[in-house]
Amino acid sequence: MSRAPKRRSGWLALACVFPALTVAGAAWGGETARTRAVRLDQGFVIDLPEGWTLEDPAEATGDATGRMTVRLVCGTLPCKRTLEVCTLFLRRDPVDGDGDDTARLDGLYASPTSRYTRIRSALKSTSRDATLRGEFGKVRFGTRLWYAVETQAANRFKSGLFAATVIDGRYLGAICKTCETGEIRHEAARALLGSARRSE
Amino acid sequence: MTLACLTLHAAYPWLLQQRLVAAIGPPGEDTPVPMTYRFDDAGITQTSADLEAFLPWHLIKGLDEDRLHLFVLTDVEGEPIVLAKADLTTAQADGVRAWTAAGRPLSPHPPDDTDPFADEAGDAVRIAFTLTAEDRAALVTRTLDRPAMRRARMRGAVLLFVGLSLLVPGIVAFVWAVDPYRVPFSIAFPLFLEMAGTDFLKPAIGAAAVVLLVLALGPWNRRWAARELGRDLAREARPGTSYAHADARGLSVAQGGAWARLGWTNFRGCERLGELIVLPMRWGSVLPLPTRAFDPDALARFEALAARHLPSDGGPS
Repeated sequence: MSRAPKRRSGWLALACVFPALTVAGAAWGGETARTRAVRLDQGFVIDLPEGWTLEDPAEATGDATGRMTVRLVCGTLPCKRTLEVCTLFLRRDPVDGDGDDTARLDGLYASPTSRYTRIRSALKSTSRDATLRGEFGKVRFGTRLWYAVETQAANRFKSGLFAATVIDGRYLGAICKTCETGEIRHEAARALLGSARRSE
Repeated sequence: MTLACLTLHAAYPWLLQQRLVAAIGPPGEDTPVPMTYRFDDAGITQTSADLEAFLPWHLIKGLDEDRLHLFVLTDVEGEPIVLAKADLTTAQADGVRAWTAAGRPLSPHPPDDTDPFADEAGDAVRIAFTLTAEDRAALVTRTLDRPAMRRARMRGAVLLFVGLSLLVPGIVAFVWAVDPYRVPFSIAFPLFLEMAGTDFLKPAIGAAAVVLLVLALGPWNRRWAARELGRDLAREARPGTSYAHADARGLSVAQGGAWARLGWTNFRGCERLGELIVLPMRWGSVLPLPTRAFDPDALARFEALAARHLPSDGGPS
């Protein structure tokens, strides 16, 4: 399910033809790009790709509802057009269930109703007449499994990548939006999500 | 929900007809019986080949009509005289209207509570009786326990189970269909199928529990309903003694000035129901005769007459 190898090979091929793109490609490439580790609440740590910033850090301190949101904004040159942004969702309480993170992640979407609701929420969060790009299921971002689904928005709306994972028993959700309409989307977002880890 | 209400409204006449058929007997079993009605100063007399019945005006409550029928409303429990307008000339229909408007003052008072057949000669079995609330409750129970009624109840239970079980899936399907952010069918349908084994199963189990509870409480509920209805019927019944005479020609019954002579062909059988002898009639009614009204000799003679003239299995039910 991992798309990373394909992506890297794609960038390598492009780099051979257009060496000038190599820098930008490396910046989006995750492991090899210049990144900045950002510590979030509950011990979560993510590597922000170059050009990405934490929007209004004061808001990242959370609220009383038991869920916190962290908004990450891409400020790179390509993002002037794609207007990429990611919102991370944290929950105060650990994910219910026994077993490892994968088992708890499976538990989040064990019921068909939860999967249906997740898919519908993704469509609603995208736009009217949005469609799905691929199935809702487990994919690997970095070394970690995520439940994710991509949407294709109607014209003039942002398409989305909706994902959730469990790290050390803690929930981490993400909604990444982009104006990109090409086949390759959310590259930086995947790298960003793939870097998520916890450090108590 | 609106759709369900409209469907129920549209289906209600059919449902009611089915319930009535279950209660009083299957339709089409009896061939039409030509009946003559005579309106005169005394009352209304109905005559057919093997039946003659008389209702004095004080038992006629009035007239009602719809597009196709005239209903002469009577004090005889639940049995109006129904006349199809198609079978009447305009003059006859107007005559019925005029007589029912004018007839009641002609005999405003019930006659003495006497046996109109008392003077008739012969060796008929003669009884006089009054039906008690318990008798009437037993008759209600008999109606409720008819096989057709039991089948109707089981059908109702199955429909209730199916309806309640499909309620949640129906709502989900409806909400999906009108959802502006509709999940594509190819993705939603497998999920709905999966829900059938999980999320939809719980309402189905709940529906089954409700239906089983209804079925379990059924006998108690029917007994209670029969007792209450028997009490109401006894309270609303016209006071006075009923009379019945049985001979080789048939049964004659009378009460409160009304009487009927019924040939044996009008009955479908003879049943014992506790302390009652029940004679189901061709058109679904029953004629109940309490055994307490018979002396032993009269009972034996009546049973001999019934055995000679009626099928013993009670006829079709």
